[in-house]
Amino acid sequence: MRALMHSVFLLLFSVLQPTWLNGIEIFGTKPNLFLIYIIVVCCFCGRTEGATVGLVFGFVLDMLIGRLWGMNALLGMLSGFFIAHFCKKVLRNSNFLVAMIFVLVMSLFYEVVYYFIAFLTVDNVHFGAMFVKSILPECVYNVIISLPVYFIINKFSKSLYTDKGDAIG
Amino acid sequence: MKKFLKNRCVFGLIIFVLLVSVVVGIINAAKHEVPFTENIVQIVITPVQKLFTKIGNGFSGVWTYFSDVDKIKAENKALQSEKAALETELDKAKISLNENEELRKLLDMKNAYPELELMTAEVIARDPSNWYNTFTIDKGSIDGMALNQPVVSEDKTLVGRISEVGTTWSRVTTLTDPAHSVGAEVVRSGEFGIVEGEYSFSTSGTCRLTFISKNANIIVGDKIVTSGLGGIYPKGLTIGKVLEIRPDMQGISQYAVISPQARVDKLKAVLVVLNPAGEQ
Repeated sequence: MRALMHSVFLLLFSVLQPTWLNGIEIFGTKPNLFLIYIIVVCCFCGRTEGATVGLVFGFVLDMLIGRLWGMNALLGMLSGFFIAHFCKKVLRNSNFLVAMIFVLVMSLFYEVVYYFIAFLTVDNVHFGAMFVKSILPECVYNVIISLPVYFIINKFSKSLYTDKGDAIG
Repeated sequence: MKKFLKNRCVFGLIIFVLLVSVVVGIINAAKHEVPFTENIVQIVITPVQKLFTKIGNGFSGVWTYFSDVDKIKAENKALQSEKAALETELDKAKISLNENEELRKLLDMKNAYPELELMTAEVIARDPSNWYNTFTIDKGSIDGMALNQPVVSEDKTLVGRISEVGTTWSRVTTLTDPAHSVGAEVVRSGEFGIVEGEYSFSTSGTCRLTFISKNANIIVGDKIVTSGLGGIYPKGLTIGKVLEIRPDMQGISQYAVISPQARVDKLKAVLVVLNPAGEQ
């Protein structure tokens, strides 16, 4: 059932992210639905499921972008694993505020790491300008969009996630 | 720490992360063509993306009809007067072209402006991230698409080039993408340079003209066209206009901020040049 939910959202985001989301760009920036979903789901699931969701969603995003193959898969997997681990071991419970903080922090981490990897292969990048014009607006936008995503996942979580154990066990 | 490392799950995950990193490095180093998995995923997803884009365009079309009527009327009036001025300029250009033709014959040079063979393609999806400026079209290798084919808008202004070719889809890297560069020429003065995208300009939809000397004859408003050098793009395709001229960080040379004539973010259909410069 959880796999079905992830699959439905994966297909939906694969279609929406490159199409309709361009219509809600603000200052040339759109939210990253894949990243938002990975982070929000990991507030409910275990480490293995979190890492798997991050890996698969990131992998599909890599194929849609077509550059720096594997980067989103790796970052998604690591983000999913550590957020799920942190929620399970430290917080033991999560609410929408926690999810929003995670989205802000992980979006910053995700985009800054991705930026520096891009910088290693391309010459014409200026971190300061990109941080202000692109990275920061995307993080704020992700936080705003994470709210409805959280409430949708939370609605399903009561029946899909009966405890905080890993998906396999 | 020992207990942490002894945990098989964690240890396995660390190994897997390292393996993925190695594979990432190998794939990035060796990637010259579209991977099989990417091609298959795109073949499956692109028809759905095309449908969603059509639906989205329908809604935005209804919205813009009501919001842009006044704007369109004013724009129409401005375009009518611009058209009259351009017709005068066209007459002058025809005279210059005739002179040019005569001079080329005298020098026994072949006409470097080939007949362009064009194919229409629809824009079905755009880059899902905020880092790149690319879009996907609904034509692929089975339709005759090939790597590096130039892509122009319907009024023959440069949009970009094909950077990836799938079976039924292709990816276009636009002018404003940091991975794109094109040899350019200033129409008024004949100065040469390279128009390239840059990350910090990409959100404003502009690009820059580089490799121009500090004393180059270039002013704000100058029209920039393709120079034809490099063999990918035909000569004379309109790129855009100079918005601003800035010194570079070292102060040795300068660069110009270019506003592309093609509104890349608004394009719904493009033309792919099937026989770029140099091919018959």
